[in-house]
Amino acid sequence: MEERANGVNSGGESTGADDLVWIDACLTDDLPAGEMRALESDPPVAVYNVEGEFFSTADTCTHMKSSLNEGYLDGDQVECALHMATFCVRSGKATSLPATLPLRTFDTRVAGNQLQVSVPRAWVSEG
Amino acid sequence: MRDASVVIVGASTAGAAAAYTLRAVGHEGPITLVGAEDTAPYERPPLSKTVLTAAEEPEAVWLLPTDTYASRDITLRLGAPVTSVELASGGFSLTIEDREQIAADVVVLATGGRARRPAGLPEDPRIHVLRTWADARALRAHMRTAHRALVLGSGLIGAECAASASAQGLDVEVLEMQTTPFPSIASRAVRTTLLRTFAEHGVRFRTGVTVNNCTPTDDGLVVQLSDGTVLEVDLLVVGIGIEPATELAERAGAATERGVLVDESMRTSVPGLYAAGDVASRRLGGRLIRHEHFASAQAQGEAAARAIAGLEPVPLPTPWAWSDQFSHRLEVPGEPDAADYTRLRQPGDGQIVEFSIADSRLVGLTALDQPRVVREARRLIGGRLRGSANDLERTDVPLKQLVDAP
Ligand SMILES: Cc1cc2nc3c(=O)[nH]c(=O)nc-3n(C[C@H](O)[C@H](O)[C@H](O)COP(=O)(O)OP(=O)(O)OC[C@H]3O[C@@H](n4cnc5c(N)ncnc54)[C@H](O)[C@@H]3O)c2cc1C
Ligand code: FES
Repeated sequence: MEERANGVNSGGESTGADDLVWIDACLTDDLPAGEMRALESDPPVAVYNVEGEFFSTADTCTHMKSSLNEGYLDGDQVECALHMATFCVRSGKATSLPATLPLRTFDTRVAGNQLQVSVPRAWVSEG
Repeated sequence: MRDASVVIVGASTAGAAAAYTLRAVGHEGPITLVGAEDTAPYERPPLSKTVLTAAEEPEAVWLLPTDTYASRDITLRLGAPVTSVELASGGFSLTIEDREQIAADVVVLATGGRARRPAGLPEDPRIHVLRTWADARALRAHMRTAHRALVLGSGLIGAECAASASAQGLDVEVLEMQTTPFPSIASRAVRTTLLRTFAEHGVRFRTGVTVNNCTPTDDGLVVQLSDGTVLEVDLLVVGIGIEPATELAERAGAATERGVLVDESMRTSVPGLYAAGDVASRRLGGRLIRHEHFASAQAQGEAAARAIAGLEPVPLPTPWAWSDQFSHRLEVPGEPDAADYTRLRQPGDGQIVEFSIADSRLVGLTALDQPRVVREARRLIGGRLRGSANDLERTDVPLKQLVDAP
């Protein structure tokens, strides 16, 4: 198992299809309702807590590639800090211009006190 | 009106947003987006930033992915200047370049503005304005061979050009007609911090002066200033604002006042004729406003589309402008100019939020490098202060507890 910076650990266990892998995102206590954070995968993945429900999307805005986690989470909408595009974090859908393309979304689950996200293996493996 | 034919004149920020939104809300009739430029709709903000500074030859940033037009059944007509819009039986007849007529039930004028040039400047390839992709390409190429640049005007575009030229290693001087640099920025603290950054990069400012004349020579441009100073430079960028392109609206009989007058739904005084973006002006509580910002142009295009589709109008979002100068991000949500007084918050070196207050309500802010506070505060603009305005200076209390939601 490989340690990566900022708590992105390979959780082992792959889902098989599409070569996704569950990784630890953070302790659920470290992501209170209304907050978001980015995992240092490459490309980065964002996790959100919307009133106790966890969601995950790509962290890279589909408009001009800003990091969404530097923006603002309002309900289930994440607003990009660069030009204010918004996306629904449940569906990944772009909900206002200037973005039109959706964000990729990822499954989340809670294992004990850990929030885990299912991401492409290639995003978290070295090299 | 779901099957009305809509022609949008001006294929840029407001026009593309209108076309995209019309389809998004289910408009079924034909949509034609007609633009004078040859390039598919692109974003202007990068023109004074990365397009000038990128090491690699830049590509335009498309406003919409370029397959959007075909996939949403939007007819895109490029290189097609509209020369007149006339009322015809029950609708409009548009003329493209005096040769081709197209009919429309509804017309949206999203013609934006043209870069202003002071009278008396000669035509010379070393004298630049910056509005279009073609302008930016020419300026970029010239910046790669020039050494000395003079920028006329320290509005947002002039300041960004000066920063980009300096970042490219040019020796840069900025002329400002007003007595202070960056006169369009309401916050003195922000102006001071920006000026310090520009000075650190060696950019010089001269205020209270204009150009009397400019003579092209073999070696460059000889520029004579109103105070008698003579400067020799390789390159001159003129950034003194735009003239709204109102001529089609005027000829169609629509009311204009420093722009094409519209209501909250972007309707002009002529039924079926809409205007949106930099070209559109509005009366709001006795003030005449015309925004020249990306987000406003986009929101107005969307508002026009909603009105054409017959949807309930939604209030226009709080205006928001941004500008990138060196590593600073300036953001101006709301209408700081409407302030009675301000309160300053300086959480860190060079980080500034100046809150503008009128009638005990937050009306706008001017912020430097404070993206989170801006996002939070933007939702509160128009809201009433809960306690003393001085509390706004505190960084330890969430803004939501200091200002009621509007
Ligand atoms: C260099 C630069 C940097 C900028 N940076 C920022 C920034 O950082 N932040 C920000 O908020 N805003 C910025 N802006 C402002 C923003 O880009 C504009 O507010 C926005 O583009 C206005 O959109 P518009 O569609 O109303 O008009 P425009 O973008 O001006 O487009 C109008 C279009 O209509 C076409 N047209 C005009 N007349 C006709 C005709 N008769 N027939 C056919 N076509 C016609 C024109 O050719 C043009 O393509 C910047 C602008 C420039 C030029
Ligand atoms: S990069 Fe996100 S809105 Fe532009």
